Amino acid sequence: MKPMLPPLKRSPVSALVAFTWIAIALLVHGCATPPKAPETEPVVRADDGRLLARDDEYAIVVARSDDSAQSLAQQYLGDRRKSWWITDGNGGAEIRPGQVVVIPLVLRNRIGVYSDGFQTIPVLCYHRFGSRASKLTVTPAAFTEQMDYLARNGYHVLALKELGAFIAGREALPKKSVIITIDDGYRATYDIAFPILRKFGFPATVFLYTDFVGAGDALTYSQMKELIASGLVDIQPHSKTHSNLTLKLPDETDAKYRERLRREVDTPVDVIRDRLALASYAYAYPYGDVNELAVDYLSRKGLSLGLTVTPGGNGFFAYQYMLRRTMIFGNEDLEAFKAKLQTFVRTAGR
Amino acid sequence: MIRAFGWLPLCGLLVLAACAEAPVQPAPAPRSAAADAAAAAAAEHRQLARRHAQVGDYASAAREWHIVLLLVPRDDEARKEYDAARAAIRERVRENLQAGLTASRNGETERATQAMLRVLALDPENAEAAKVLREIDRQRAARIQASQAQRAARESQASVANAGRAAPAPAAASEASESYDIEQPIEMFKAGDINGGLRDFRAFVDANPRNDAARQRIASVVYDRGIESEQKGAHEQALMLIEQAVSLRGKPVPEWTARAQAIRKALAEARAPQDKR
Repeated sequence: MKPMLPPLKRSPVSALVAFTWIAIALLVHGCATPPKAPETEPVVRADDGRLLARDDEYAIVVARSDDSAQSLAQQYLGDRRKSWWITDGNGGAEIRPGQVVVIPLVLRNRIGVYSDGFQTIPVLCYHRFGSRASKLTVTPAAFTEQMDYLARNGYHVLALKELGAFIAGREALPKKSVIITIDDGYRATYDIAFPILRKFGFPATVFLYTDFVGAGDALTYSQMKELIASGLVDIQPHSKTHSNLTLKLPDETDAKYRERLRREVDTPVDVIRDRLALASYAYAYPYGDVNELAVDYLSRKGLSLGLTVTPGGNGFFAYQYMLRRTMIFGNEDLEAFKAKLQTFVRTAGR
Repeated sequence: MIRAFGWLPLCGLLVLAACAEAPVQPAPAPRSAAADAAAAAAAEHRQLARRHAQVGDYASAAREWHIVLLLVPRDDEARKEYDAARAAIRERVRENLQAGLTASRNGETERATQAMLRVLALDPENAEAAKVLREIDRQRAARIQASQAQRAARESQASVANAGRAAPAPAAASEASESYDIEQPIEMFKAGDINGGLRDFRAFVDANPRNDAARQRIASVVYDRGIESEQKGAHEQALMLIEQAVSLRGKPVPEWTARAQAIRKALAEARAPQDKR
């Protein structure tokens, strides 16, 4: 069998050339820098002494001894009040020195829906405060105990306005958020509830039915102005006469009913604007009752939230004109109060 | 002579090449405390990511892998897992959205709600799922209010009849405003919104644990529905409802417990031959 290739001619010159190339190759190989091993070590960018890593969505830092959720929120989110972004995202505990803290720079989940359930915001509804407890009268001691419970157990008491942004899907709210409302406009709101709210720094919305002003145990406009000036209390409409918006009176024509409905919506909005210089955005229906016609009047008047007294919390998807509100009764104990703070609803599963 | 001399530089070169040594890499600087912290954090988030993925919580898994990748950008395994979690999210969003829309079209509000909540847990910015949920809640709230309005009208008529007056009394806050209680969920439950009704009953009972009369009423309604389901042959639903009734009642009712046990037994017996197969 013939060889496929001709035999090599071994001339000394070609051998010399071959050896030279081999030597050069060995030299080059010897001097070459070895390739980098794949990087499995963390990248540390200690540009301010604590930042480990950052992109558009997260900053990851090592907390220093003088750091708190508030100080980190101020530095990385530009707002101390957003400290809950950090605490909620890191197990809810206090920040410890040396702890690696993940700071979400944007909140993609503004609606509070998770694989195991969804966030709800309970709106608590009080009426009167006084020394003798009854269903609709809460004593100062009970109210203090309830506010103290909220303060000590990580609840965030928010202004009602913030609920609007949440259900519109614009703003996330902290876990365990609660809203306080007080119906009718009793003077005890000023005498009893307000000092307690101020002590805890909790905001509240008073729903006023304007024909009540001037009655013996009603708030006066000067008291209301003082409440508003505190920055804690907001006043919003609760009708003119506190009549049930869904009931047509005997012998009332459709036209008269509509006219009455319009007055019940428009008058308190106008009075609150004229006497207290406040814009209205929310309306609490007397007895919590509402129909589509009343909703239509609210919408036309520029009101964006309507509150019933159907108990339970409000998920992000809550219908803005029929929000749930849970009554707090004076003849119930703290355990019953705790049970009404529904801030999360578990769902069936994935 | 020349030939022999000619090999000399070549041999020298070979010797030099053989002795050549790769430049030594500078020894890595001792790892700082921050790097140690980052490594520990990456390990912790890696573990969390795996745990979330195992239980099907791909949104949380993707978040955790994202954090791992921020800390260790060239972690190929993390990159692969992150991509897998994102792919699982896309797939499940598509499936659940489809299921939710079908359920919504068929008027199965509870099923639609659950499916859309699953979509939003994976993709919180999914506008279609949010829209369906909002519409379901609007209809639900409107039904509650309609039932409330009917009841308010009945009460008003009764009050007029009793007082011999021509109109309801002008209202300050009254005890009537407490009467929101259980009528709406009972009506909705009877109308077929089983899961929604049960959820409301549970919320009511949690909020009013000592309202024995209301608990009795709620539990009876649920129990009756359970018996109705049993008669229709829906044994699993019957068992669930009777168990719920017992729990909502909050006090032992021997007859109900016995009924639940009988259904449980019947179900077990029905399953036994299948298991043997």
